[in-house]
Amino acid sequence: MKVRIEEKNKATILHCEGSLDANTVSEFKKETVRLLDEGSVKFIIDGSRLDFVDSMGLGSLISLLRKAKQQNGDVMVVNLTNDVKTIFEITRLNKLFRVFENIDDACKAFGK
Amino acid sequence: MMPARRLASDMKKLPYEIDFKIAGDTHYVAFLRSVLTSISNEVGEDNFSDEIKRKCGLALVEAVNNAVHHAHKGDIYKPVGIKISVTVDEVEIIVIDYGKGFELHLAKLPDLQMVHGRGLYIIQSLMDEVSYKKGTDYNTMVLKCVKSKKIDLKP
Repeated sequence: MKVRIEEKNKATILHCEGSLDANTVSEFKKETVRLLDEGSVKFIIDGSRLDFVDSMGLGSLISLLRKAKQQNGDVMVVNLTNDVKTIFEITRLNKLFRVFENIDDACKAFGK
Repeated sequence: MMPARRLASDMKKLPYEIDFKIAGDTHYVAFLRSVLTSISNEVGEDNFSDEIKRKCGLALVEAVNNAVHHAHKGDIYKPVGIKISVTVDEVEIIVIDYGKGFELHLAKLPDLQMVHGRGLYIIQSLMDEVSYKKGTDYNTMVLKCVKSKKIDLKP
């Protein structure tokens, strides 16, 4: 999975492309731990090009959320593809994560 | 311009079966998804729809995750056996592990904050039938997805 990082309005946007799964979670975790260590606590996961997430991928997102919240931050999720949205609904993680339709709305939510 | 379609005569007739073993390292996910895409290309979308492919893809990945990380406790030298059958009525996926086995139960979702523990619930939510048989030398998980039945994915 490729991750492109963008800073916007004091939030760190992770533009994810590909699959977040048992094969790719370790790299995702490494990257997010680095960002947390550098002081990022507000994350926006852009899922517009994320075509597959398995339970281990979900676990890595939850782990990021827990660490961000420990530092008074948060993780928002935007632009989920239908398949990923479905897995969020099946596992009810759409109740844990704040899900937005676009990045601007997520940024505004951080600003509140 | 209409997209090109494979000729019906090119497509493999049903039943279609493939079986293989994979090594237990974690580079299997993309491979497994591509196997299902290949099967779809072979038998045609009428016999293996995109929706069925997506559900079976995730269920298969979760079942293999379970075999590698739980049954085999991450031992990459233990292979995982996989068999996928497509018939007129259903898709059957068999995943064989060589671990100690476990007692299949009706899975519940863990607490939302829990990092682990969703795999079996996801499999049971996506598939029409799930069984697991513990054996002397290996254990067999069988997943079935009925094609004619419209499955409601909403929890």
